[in-house]
Amino acid sequence: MALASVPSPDDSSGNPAATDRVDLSDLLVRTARGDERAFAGLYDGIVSLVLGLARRVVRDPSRAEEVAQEVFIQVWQTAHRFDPAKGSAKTWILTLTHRRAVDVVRRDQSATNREARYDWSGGPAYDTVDEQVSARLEYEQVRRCLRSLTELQREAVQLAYYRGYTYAEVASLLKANPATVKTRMRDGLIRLRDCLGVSVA
Amino acid sequence: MSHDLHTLVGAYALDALDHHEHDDFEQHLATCETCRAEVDELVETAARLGAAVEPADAVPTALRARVLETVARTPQERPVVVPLESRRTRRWLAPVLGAAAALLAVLAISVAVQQLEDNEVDKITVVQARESALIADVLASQDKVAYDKQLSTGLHMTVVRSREVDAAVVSLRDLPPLAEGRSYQMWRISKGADGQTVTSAGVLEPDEVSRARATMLLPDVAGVDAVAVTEEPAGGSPKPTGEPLVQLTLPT
Repeated sequence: MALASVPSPDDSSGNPAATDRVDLSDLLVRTARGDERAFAGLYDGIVSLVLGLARRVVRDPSRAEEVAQEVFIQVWQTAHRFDPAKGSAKTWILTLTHRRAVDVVRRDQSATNREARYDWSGGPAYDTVDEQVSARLEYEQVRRCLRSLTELQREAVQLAYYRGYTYAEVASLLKANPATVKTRMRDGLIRLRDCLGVSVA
Repeated sequence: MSHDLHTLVGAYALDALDHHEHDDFEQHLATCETCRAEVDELVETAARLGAAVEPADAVPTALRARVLETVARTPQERPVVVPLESRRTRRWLAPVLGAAAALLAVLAISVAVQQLEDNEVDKITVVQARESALIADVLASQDKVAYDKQLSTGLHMTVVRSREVDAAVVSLRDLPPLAEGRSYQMWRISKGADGQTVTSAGVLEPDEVSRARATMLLPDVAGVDAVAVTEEPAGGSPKPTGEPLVQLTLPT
């Protein structure tokens, strides 16, 4: 595989095209050594996902942008903590993004004015092709696997992840026992893990 | 008490603990090797939920400038120094251990699949898991290439092929609605000296939520020159009976 060069932002047209041409983990490792050029490449490679996830969780576009900015500064500062043997750069960065977004949404909003249901029916509307092919297939695969969960497992997982509710809040929204919700979250994720074939070296 | 804490692993991976419980759990994690393995996998799984979100289409250019400008004047956290000796060992060992762990994971999956089959439990899930594992392999492969075709009707077909994995993932969007008693069927087309061979790759199962979408895994794609979709009587036909709705040629 070609080693990562810093991509230009419009480096995504052309068809057919190889997806994921940039090795994000390599860029993150170089970022840990203080390489600002690698960091810029990393930013370009993942900003649309970071901002997309932040927007999904916090809803407010300008707050989402603040979250994205804070996440990238945190990535820069703590890049040395990333261990490529333990997982991908994408996972590492999306995990930071989710935590930050959830913190913000909990600070900003009380549980009562957040929507109770997350609607999967529409699905993402992608307008460019090759760069987002992976994301679309990822989406379709995740959705397919979510369907293998029980309703309570699925609702608990989605309300927590996409809305930032604590399990106690999820329990009161679903009128279920907190202890049950807690175990359903675990069971649901385990089922999702097996369906998606996730394994960590 | 520690058993009680361990049941929080799912909520932890989903960031669904309040601050107090979050800290308690991380303390527990520091002393529990087995929990850490489970946490790593569930955190990875949760990140897949994040990666499945619609990427932002319009990223403000000012954000890039602001981030890069801030980074230029922000010092990085300094790593904890690891003695050279152990560092060298670890670096050398990491890929070897990684490969061994990957092999173990594969074995673990086959064992799990076998157990499920023995129990006759939920065969669909087993098939789904196998397919998903292959789909994941295709998407994770270094040599994958995406081909894309959109018709003026809006129908959109994407094929992601990996020669290494010898499989392709075909996905369709905006399929026209089917009349009662009809199905969509996928075909593999191979060109040989004596003309082209068309074989069925199966009937498309439209997505339950949105009937206009479908995803299919095509194993053994070596020698497949094109894929096509036709409309057929429900359940499919042995040979295509109509013109392809869409056909996509895969470069050799």
